[in-house]
Amino acid sequence: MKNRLKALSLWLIGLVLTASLAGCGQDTSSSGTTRVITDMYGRELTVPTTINRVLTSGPIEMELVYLIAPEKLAGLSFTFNGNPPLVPEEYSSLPVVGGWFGTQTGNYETFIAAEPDIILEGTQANISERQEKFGSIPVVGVRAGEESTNYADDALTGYEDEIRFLGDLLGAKKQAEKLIKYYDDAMDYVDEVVSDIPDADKVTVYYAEGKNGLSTDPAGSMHTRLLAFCGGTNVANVTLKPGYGMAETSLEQIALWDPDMIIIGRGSQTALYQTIMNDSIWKQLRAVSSGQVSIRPDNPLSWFDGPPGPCQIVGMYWMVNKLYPDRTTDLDLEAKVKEFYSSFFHYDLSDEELAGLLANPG
Amino acid sequence: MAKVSLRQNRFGPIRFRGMGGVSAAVVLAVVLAALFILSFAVGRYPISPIDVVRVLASHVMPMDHTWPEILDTVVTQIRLPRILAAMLVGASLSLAGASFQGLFRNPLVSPDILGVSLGAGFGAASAILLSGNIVAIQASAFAGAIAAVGISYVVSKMVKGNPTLSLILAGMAISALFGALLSLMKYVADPVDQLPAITYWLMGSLAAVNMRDLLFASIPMVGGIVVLLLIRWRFNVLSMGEEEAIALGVDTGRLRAIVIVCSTAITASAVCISGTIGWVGLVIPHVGRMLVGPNHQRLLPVSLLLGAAYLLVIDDICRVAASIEIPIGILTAIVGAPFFVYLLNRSEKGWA
Repeated sequence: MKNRLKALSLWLIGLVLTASLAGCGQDTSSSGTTRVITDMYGRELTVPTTINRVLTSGPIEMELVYLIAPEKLAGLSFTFNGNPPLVPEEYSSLPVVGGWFGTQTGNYETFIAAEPDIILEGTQANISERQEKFGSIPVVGVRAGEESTNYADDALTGYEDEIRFLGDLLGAKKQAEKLIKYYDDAMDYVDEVVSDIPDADKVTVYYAEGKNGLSTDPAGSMHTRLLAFCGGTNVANVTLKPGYGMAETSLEQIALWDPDMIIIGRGSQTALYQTIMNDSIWKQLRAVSSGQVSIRPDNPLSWFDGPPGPCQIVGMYWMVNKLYPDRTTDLDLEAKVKEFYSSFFHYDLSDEELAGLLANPG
Repeated sequence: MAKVSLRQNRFGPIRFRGMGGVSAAVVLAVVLAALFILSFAVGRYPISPIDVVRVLASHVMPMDHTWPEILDTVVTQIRLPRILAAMLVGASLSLAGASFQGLFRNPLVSPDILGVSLGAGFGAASAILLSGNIVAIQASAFAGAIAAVGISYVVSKMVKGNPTLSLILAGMAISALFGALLSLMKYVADPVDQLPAITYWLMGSLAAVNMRDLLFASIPMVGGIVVLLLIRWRFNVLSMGEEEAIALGVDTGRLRAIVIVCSTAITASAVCISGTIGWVGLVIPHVGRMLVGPNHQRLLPVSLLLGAAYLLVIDDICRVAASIEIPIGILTAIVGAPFFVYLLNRSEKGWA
């Protein structure tokens, strides 16, 4: 007991000393050149002309910055998926600062200690609190839209303004326009494929989440927006749950819905895939017996959901191809994925890595 | 009025015996003052204690502003409101808990026994559903809390028999009712933006507290605290039992009403700024009894100081332990429960 106390107090003293040493290292570094901008909520702000360090209050804004100007990120909302993640080492080694999303509350001091030039906030309702706590660090609102939240209904198809705004703010206009071009092409392509499919012919899908695959998100949920956009019908009519979603359902209910296809979402995906393919009850489902079970690609950032962010742009090609392979024979999915990874994830995929992303585990 | 000492009770004081004439309250006040100052130096953002002192001092005396502006933000916008809120909420919940435990003569009573938390939750949820702004939400939460306790009180008045027992039973029933209404609100809320707002509000956090909220909440809080402290000796009379108290000339009905109003006002304000924080109002009064015995004359101030210090330390841990916020309700239980068991073991006399 005494030793432990001693160790604890030594540790505390160490902590205080480190904290004070680190505190002494502060100096006022202001570039001197600033400019006044109007953010996407119409607030006037003074920001540095050259912004070098950006933090985001949530993962969707983080994804946007990563796609457009990754070198500006001073920290991550969460660690990249995958082991190893398909991103350059300099980005996967960035510190994780957390944020305000899902069920999580960020720590203001963690953010300030990372010395950001600006902080991006995607939900209008939160911005006055953020600005008050961040004091002199400009908090820039980046989601216009009707609801001014990243979870609004039009979010999947409405990223263009944000991409353009951030491109201008971060001095990466060219990259932003490049992303918008890819984004528009993807949306046009999906539109062309699915617009004339009658509702009765649409592929029905169950989105399996959680450890046992018995959690899901219904139609209308932000988590299954990509599915709806790509012309799939979500079979789950469960109560929509906020935040991370994941409403409970049962195998009996899934059997009753009898989906054409199952997509495996959040959770230990490979294990769940094995369970679904080998479990005697799951095996009786039409989707399983016909082999229509897919894992959503997640590395380095999810194409589908978790978070439902701008990386769904590459997911559009994947999803529409998954649902309607016969209608998308003209699509070179592999080339589209490779292009997205090299241009926007800043990582050149090897053929092996590409195959790993697109294939299910054996 | 005679001051009744209950020191021969089985809850014997276990500490401060060898401390001569120094009262526990004075010691605790000094400890609290030290914690208050130390808490400013605690946080994820590294600031040296000297800088903290300089930033704080610059508000009371003219000084050259030689430090980065961000230090002002951290100290005055982030740390100061939280430190004050943690102390106020901790003090309020503990004092309300000690008062209710004395009033009901029951050590298992917590401040939300009459439905104050669920009433506040229901009020807040209603305002969120009606798309009220933050002021409307706080006001509605406060009104809901008062309504729940008011109904409990009125219902208990209609019941014949032991007033204490009927108050507890009425409180349980009204809590259940408001709990159900709150569930209904959550059920009909829009799951995309209203439900998360309700959940977030119920979870409670000191992270978002600002000086404006604090100022509003502190008016009923400080008022209730002062009244409870002023009438604290009467609790001893109450704890002797209904008939004895009446025989001693105490109007127990009126006293009960005053205690309920004051405790509700301070608990409701605490819930409004921090959400429901469990364990503080239940446990801290017990710790207080272990220190100074069950005499309310000393127990109430000691509980108040202990509660303030306890929640301040817990919130300091919430602020530094991880790079994201740890919900404070989780830590009050994780730290509080083992500590409580430890104290039970140390207690010289049996507990049950």
